Order: sequence, then structure tokens, then C-alpha cells
Amino acid sequence: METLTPEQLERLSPFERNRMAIPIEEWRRHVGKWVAMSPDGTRIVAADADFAALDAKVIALGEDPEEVVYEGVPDPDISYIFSVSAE
Amino acid sequence: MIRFPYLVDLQTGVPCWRPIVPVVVRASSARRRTKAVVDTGSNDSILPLQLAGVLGVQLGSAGTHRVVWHGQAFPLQFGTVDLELSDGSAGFRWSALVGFSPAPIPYALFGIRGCLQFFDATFCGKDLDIELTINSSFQGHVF
Repeated sequence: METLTPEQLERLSPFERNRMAIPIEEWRRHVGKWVAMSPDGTRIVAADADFAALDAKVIALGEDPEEVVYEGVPDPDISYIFSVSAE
Repeated sequence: MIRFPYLVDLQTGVPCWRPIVPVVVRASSARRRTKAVVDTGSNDSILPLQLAGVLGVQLGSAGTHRVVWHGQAFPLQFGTVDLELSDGSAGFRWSALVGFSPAPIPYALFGIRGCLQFFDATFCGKDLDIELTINSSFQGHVF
């Protein structure tokens, strides 16, 4: 697996640097889902394919839903073309 | 100007750099933090439909609007939210009409309407940075 250079790592925010330390295996468990990251990026608080259900989980766990960071986990086997058009 | 390094999905085993920015989405008295791909090819800015419910966003009717994602059409409803971008040293906050869709897009998308229309954007391919500078159409707040 390719790694980042020290210069590239230095330019990332503390949140992103912490996030990078989460093991690949942990991320792969959540492919196709939304995850809520702790505010410092050190851990995945909760995950769910359903954004609203994830938000409810975060609240139930006693975490602040306004401080965690919600992000999707892309499928590594898909080359994403993000551009979308509205009809 | 605010500047963000591209982010990389290294953890999934595929080192894929993308112009992704951290964003705060606000509506009513609630907010959520997420990430958005800055996408010059997207007509609209698109957020997950269920985020609208979580934030209490008033949505217009689905009408005939659809968003096409990976060849499949999904409903698209529009609502107004406040969006906030900050690189830690400066930031912009503005009100925008954005689309909400159940399309399984793994990020929010910042397209032309609702986002890029208000900025001059530079994608720095060598440095893997994106720079955003407000233009004369921006009517939000700078902090």
C-alpha cells in the first residue's frame, strides 16, 4: 500500500492525521456505510448505512452529534465519478 | 482565500486523493459536520436526504427533479441551509439552496449551484490543494 510522505502528512489537519491511524480492517468493516468520527479523528464512534439511524446512534451513545464528523466510506473497488446532473 | 489539502482514502487500501473539504451544515438551530467533494462537473450541491430530516430542513416537493448517479436516477428535493467552510485560519459562511437526495453518494457534493458559483476555485494538482476565493456573487459572511 502506498504511504504518505512526511510532508504530505504534515499538511493534514490533526483530525485527518489521527484518522489515518485507524486500521484498514476497521474501515473495511464500514464500506458503503456512513460513519461518525470522534471530534479528534481518533475513533469511529458509530456506523450505519442509514444517516438518520447513525445520528440516533450517536445521540444514544452520549456523543455530541454537532461535534462528531459524519462521512461516507467509499468502496475501494469502485472508481468514483462524482459529477452528477440534475434532470 | 482558504486552502485545503486534498484528502486521501488511504485506509481502504486505495490511495485516492480527492478535493474534499470539511463542511458544517446548519439549519434551524442544529448543525452537523461532514465532508464534501468539490466537483466542478456537478450542476448542484447535493447532500444526503436524511441529513435534511436530522436538521429539520424545509424541503420543496420532489417534482420532476432527479439526480443521476452511476446511471440511476434518484429523487432530488431542494432546501435552504447555511454552509460553512474553514481551513482553521479563515472561513466563509453562506446560505445556499442545495439538493437533498437518497442517492448513495459517499460524500456531500459541492457543485456549481449553491457553492462554486460563489467562489473562484483553483485546483493545485502538483501540491494537491484546493484554493477557494470568494467572488463578487458571494453574499455570506467571512470570518
